[in-house]
Amino acid sequence: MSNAVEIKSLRKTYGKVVALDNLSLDIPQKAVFGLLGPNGAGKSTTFGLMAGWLKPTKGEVQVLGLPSHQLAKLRGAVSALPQDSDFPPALAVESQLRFFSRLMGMSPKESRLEASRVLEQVGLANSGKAKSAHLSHGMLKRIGIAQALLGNPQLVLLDEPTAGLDPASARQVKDIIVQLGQNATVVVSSHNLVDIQEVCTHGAILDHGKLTASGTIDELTDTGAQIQILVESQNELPLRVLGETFGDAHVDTKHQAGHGAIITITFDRHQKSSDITAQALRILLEHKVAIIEVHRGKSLETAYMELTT
Amino acid sequence: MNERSISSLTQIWHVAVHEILTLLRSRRVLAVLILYLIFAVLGSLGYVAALEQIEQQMREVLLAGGTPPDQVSTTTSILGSDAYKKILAFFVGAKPDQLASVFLESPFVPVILGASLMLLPYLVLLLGYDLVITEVESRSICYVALRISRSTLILGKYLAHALIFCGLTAVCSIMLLLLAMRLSGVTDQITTATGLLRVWVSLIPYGLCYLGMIVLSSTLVEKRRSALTFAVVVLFVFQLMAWAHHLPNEGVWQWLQYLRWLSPSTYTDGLWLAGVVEPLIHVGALTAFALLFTVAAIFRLNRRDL
Repeated sequence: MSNAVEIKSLRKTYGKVVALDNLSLDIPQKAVFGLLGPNGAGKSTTFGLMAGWLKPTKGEVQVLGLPSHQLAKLRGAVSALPQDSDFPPALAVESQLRFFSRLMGMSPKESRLEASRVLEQVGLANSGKAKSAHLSHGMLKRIGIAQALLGNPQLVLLDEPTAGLDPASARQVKDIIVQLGQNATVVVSSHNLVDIQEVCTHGAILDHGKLTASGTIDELTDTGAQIQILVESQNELPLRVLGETFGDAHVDTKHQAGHGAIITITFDRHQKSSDITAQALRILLEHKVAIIEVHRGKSLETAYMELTT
Repeated sequence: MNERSISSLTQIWHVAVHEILTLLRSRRVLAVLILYLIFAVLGSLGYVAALEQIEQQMREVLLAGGTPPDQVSTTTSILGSDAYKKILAFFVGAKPDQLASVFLESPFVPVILGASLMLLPYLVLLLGYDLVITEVESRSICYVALRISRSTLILGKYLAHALIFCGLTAVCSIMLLLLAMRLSGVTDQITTATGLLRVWVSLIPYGLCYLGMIVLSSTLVEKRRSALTFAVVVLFVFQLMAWAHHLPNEGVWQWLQYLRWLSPSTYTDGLWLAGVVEPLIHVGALTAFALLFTVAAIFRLNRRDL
């Protein structure tokens, strides 16, 4: 089993509304996989189908080798943070976490220790006795993440894990995701593309229920086939030289509103990006152009905008 | 039993315990207990008072007519008399000699069973009308559904409510027995205790049947706010179906009469009857309904999106 999740020709409709249309996607094991797309693209539906909460209209989803509606057989090997979910308001969060642990087959003692461990991991070690009705939105989100960490999950599905969190908590969650990714497959959906680019190794972009791109983050951002150079000057001469060197079709310049420009050079993946970068920078320096930034590939945001608009 | 089925049973138990703790914290159990006790006690007291009033009036009439006082009390004792049997049989819809003796020997026992048969479906409903839809609507079910099957979840919740139902009715029966012991007119406390025990045992399949119905209705609705209305309508429709035998015995009405056999309410009459076979058939029917409703609830939850 090389893939943690295999989605084949998946279709999901809600009445006449098509939420997902013929989606096929593989999520490799031990990947931190980002699921991207605008509102209504089908991300949460895909999550629901992977977690077995939703029934596919057509197609199939295999998770860790099992059809997704049989995930309960794995007793917690798959865990998830659903979007907009609540805990029973009258119960202390620790007893809720212990309940989940007991369902996974842990003894009372193990479940108590496990609840403490995950609460500590999300920075809420002192909130175990609190009832969920008394916790803030951000704290509840972290409790939701804590329950997804219970046991030793092989696949963790996190729908918008950093939404509504303060920067420090969001940082903590991103660190947890990276740490989880060392031993498990993690699927994350988020609108925060910077976060996704920072923590994910792989990703897919959905739009209107269809897959528009998938692969490693490097592939999505053309990291091995593009460089972007932010320069101060808007002088045409060095740009012309770059065009002559790499070919006009491979050099694109966007002038910034204030001053300066972004030069994008695309090239074949078999060419070494370091050679291309060195050559381009030499030309610019020879023409005394001040270089502000150099990026390998485009930002995920740029890729996202290209693929979803 | 293999390891997997033991594990499923353990999971059902964990869900049940968790559900009981959640219910106890919600204070709904206490509300239902108080409601049940109030209705049962008021009903019992009213019934006993009415019987005493009738006896008193008869006594006065007989004394005024010149009957010797030592014969008056024997003549006016309603309890155990043919008239009492006929009154009770009329309400139950059976022949007087078909009634179980426990209902004739203590005035408390029949009124408790009667009141329970009338009230308990609504109390069961009050306790659990939203037991599945609340979790679906808040999506807290998503956390559980990854760790246990949906069938296990339904069975665990069902077990919790069944245990609460049995506990509540047992507590009420004991409290009513204590009340009966303090009241004049109930001389044979062992008879009352035996009668209440029979009532309690009879009410278990009855309660489980309606519990199954409520679980099913809470898996059918899409929104929590409509769950109570929907459950009341379902309950009302089934009770209406039990009345189908009152329909005219002609044309299409004749065929509609058969609807009564599809309603659990039809099978409550058997709980009053003497002997073993007749009551057991009715208990069996109620148990079958409980099973049918629960399986339907599992089927529905397994097929729906969360």
